[in-house]
This record gives sequence, C-alpha cells and structure tokens, in this order.
Amino acid sequence: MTSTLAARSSEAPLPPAAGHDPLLLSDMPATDFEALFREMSPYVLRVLPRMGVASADLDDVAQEIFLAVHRGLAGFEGRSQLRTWVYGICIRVCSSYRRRPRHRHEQPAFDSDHEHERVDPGPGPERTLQAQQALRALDRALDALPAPQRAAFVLYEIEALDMRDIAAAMDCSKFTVYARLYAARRHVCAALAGAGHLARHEEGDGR
Amino acid sequence: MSFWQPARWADHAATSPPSPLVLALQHARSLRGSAARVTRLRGQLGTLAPQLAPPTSAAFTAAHGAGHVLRWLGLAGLVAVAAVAALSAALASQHTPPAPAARALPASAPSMQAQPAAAPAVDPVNAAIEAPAAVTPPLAAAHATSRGKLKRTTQTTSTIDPAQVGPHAEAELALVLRAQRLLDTNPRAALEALSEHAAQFPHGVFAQERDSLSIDALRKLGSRTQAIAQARAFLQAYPRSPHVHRIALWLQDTGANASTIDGSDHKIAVPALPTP
Repeated sequence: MTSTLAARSSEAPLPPAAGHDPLLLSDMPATDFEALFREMSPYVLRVLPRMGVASADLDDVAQEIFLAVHRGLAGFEGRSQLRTWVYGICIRVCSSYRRRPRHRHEQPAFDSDHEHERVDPGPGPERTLQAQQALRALDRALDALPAPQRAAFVLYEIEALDMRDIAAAMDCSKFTVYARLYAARRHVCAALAGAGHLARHEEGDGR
Repeated sequence: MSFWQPARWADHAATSPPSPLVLALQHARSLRGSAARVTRLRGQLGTLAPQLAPPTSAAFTAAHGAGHVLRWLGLAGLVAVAAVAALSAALASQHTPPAPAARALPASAPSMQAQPAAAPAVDPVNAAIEAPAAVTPPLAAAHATSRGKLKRTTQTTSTIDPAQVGPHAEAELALVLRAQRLLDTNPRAALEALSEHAAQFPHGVFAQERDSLSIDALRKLGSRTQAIAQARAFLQAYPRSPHVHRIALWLQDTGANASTIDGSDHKIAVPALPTP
C-alpha cells in the first residue's frame, strides 16, 4: 500500500521548514510510520541540538522520540497537525532529558559537515564559518534559558511554527507562548553582541 | 481564525552583512539531520524494536518504485547508507529469535515488519553502489602495509546484495555499526573497531563505509595529516562512491591537493551532487 504521504514524500525531497505542508491525519494511515519518519527525522535531528541535547546524546534522544511516536501513532486523534504533535513529543522528551542528573553538559559539538547537511549551497566558506560561530553563540545564549522559553524561541524562530501550533505542542495558551517567546528574545538580545537592531525590531512588532 | 504572528528574526535580512543573530538563525534553519545520521537512527530503531525493522530495499523499491526512491534520496551518500540499513534489515530478518527490544512496545502497536520479497534481478539501490576494481581499500591497504603484505588485489564486488553477502556480513556490520556509535564519544575506539574490520574483512561489503568512517575518526582525533592521506586514498579507490562528495569537499576545505597513488598531483574536483 502506498500512502498519499509516502507518494508525496517520494516526489519532493523535503519540504521547507517555513510554510511546511501540514502533516494531517487524513494524509496518512496510522501504520505509516516509515513515511512519518522519513518526513520528520531530518527536522527532529535539527531541532534537538537547539533544544540543548548534547551531540553525544542525540541518537539516544532521537530514538526515544521516535519510539514514543511509534507508540502513540495508532492513538493519534488528529486534534493537531501531525508535525505539531511530533514537536510536542520532542519538547517533552527534551524536558525529561534535561532533568536527568547524568545528561551530558558539554557544549554540543558543531559538526555540520558530518551530522548535518545544508539544504542550500551556502554563501561560501567564510560566511559559513561566521554562521557556525554565530550559531554556537546562540546555543550558548539558549543554554541559559528555562526550557519552556527555549522551546518557544526555537519552534518560532527556527522551526517557523505558528503561535497556535506552538501552543498546541506545548499544551499551553497562545498568550503564554508569546510571553515565553518575548522573554527568550530579550535574553538572547542581551546575550548576543551585535543584536541591538533586533531589539528595535522587537519593539516595532506592535508591542 | 488567523492569529497575529510577530515578525521572525531570521526574516530580517535587510542589513548587510546580516547581524550574527540573523546569520545564526538563518544557518540553523538551513540545516537538516544528515542522511547518514537519519539512516543510522532508522537502523537503530529497527534493532531496538523488531516491529520497527525497516523494509528491505527490495520491498521498499517494490512499494515505491525505483525512480521515486532515487529521487527522494537525492543525495548520493544516502544511497550507500540506505543499502547498509537494508542489509541490516535483511540480516536482522535472519535472526531467530530476533534481537530483544530494549523498550517494549504495546501489542497494539502497528506492525512495521518488513515484507518478504524476492531479491530483484537488478536492485537499483544496490546497483548505485559501485567501486572500481583493482584498487585496494585505503584502510585495508594501510593494514596490509603494516604487515608487509601490500599488494594490489581485485576488488571483486562492493555491491551489497543481501542474498550473497555470506556468513561474515553480520560480523562486518556489527563492527561498522560499533564504529559509528563510538565515533562521537570515543573516536579512538571507533578507529580500533574499523582497524579490526580492515584486518578481518579487507574487501568486505562495508569497505567504503569503513574507510569513510576512519577519515571522520582521524579528523576527530586531530590527526589531520593522516586524515588527508586517507581521504586522498579514498577518492582514488572509490571515485564513484556516494561518500566522495562529502570527502572531497572536506579535502578541498583543508587546502590540500589530491595526490594520486601514482604520484601526480591534481586539484580536487568536487563532483556535483545528483539532481533529484
């Protein structure tokens, strides 16, 4: 049986993060774990380091997430997008991971050429190096945030989820998500040099 | 009902050059979990829970069509590691009983058991993995050198065919997977596992994966010179390997020229990735 989603996945390599096609229950038979894994695993592996998962723990945490996805897939009620539901599992597993006393505290090793792939050729090695350094600085800033603020920031700014979807994934109100996002933004602005103009953007966002 | 969304920072690209924060966010957005890591994760899930054993390449191909498979895969590197995962699944299916699940899944969990399927006459996924004959794999060559037995031998096949891998494939796969698991946490131990593989299976079906991993392990250990030498040997031994693009790019970044076995130097030509 070839599912709609599987057929779609085979025709398009990976949808962009922003404006991502929603994975709807109607698109996918509950048994189509393969299609869901193919669609979501590159994004799950991308988001975990930003959520504070150390590089050495990435495989274990990702396994835990997809085992949970597999366990819950049959009972998924379709009240949210499937993608949102998977991100919700990521948040819960990461939260549990960070509470463990023995989770590794070292800075995640940035190893983009081995463990990550760029979806675009990039602007050149010099700019790529700058971007990697900036990302490391961002990770350090995120490390100081409480987990809910960090999740709101990562899901909004990097994963480009809508406020409503983040609220569903975090099981809270949209207003709580706003509060967490803005608190995280203020912290990141303060932590990162050269982000002053972003603070002005924030002020100009209608607040 | 739509809900007001504040402007995302990564979309603020008006400044030139962009601020470090915008640069970081845009870079973070552009990343994806690597094909190798995705495939490794898929294989590990199949090991943890037999219900999650990925389909064999034959079954996958039959279900989705070779053209779709290759288009979806996109990156050539994934072709190789997908074949490794397929072989892993094929080997796992020969286990009686299967490996115990580390975490029990409910009985009602949907079964993802691989469909039994006859091996096709030509498997496009496996056929995509080719290596030139008459070249000794780099790590195996290094091993042979260390024992004073360097000689060129014909590499009969590097096409992974689960039906013909023989009784040693499972041991081979175990060594390569062990090295993969150790790569981040203990590259020295990973290298030892790879050396063991090279000693036992110099021309094994996972020779390319072994040699590619050994380059990564050397890099992580800081043995830059050795890594460059291994990378050059890899490009020479497997010019059509799916790993070539990544290795050649890294070699290019180091500023090293590719020195060929016959002593001539030439600039590294990074092969273009296949278009989906």
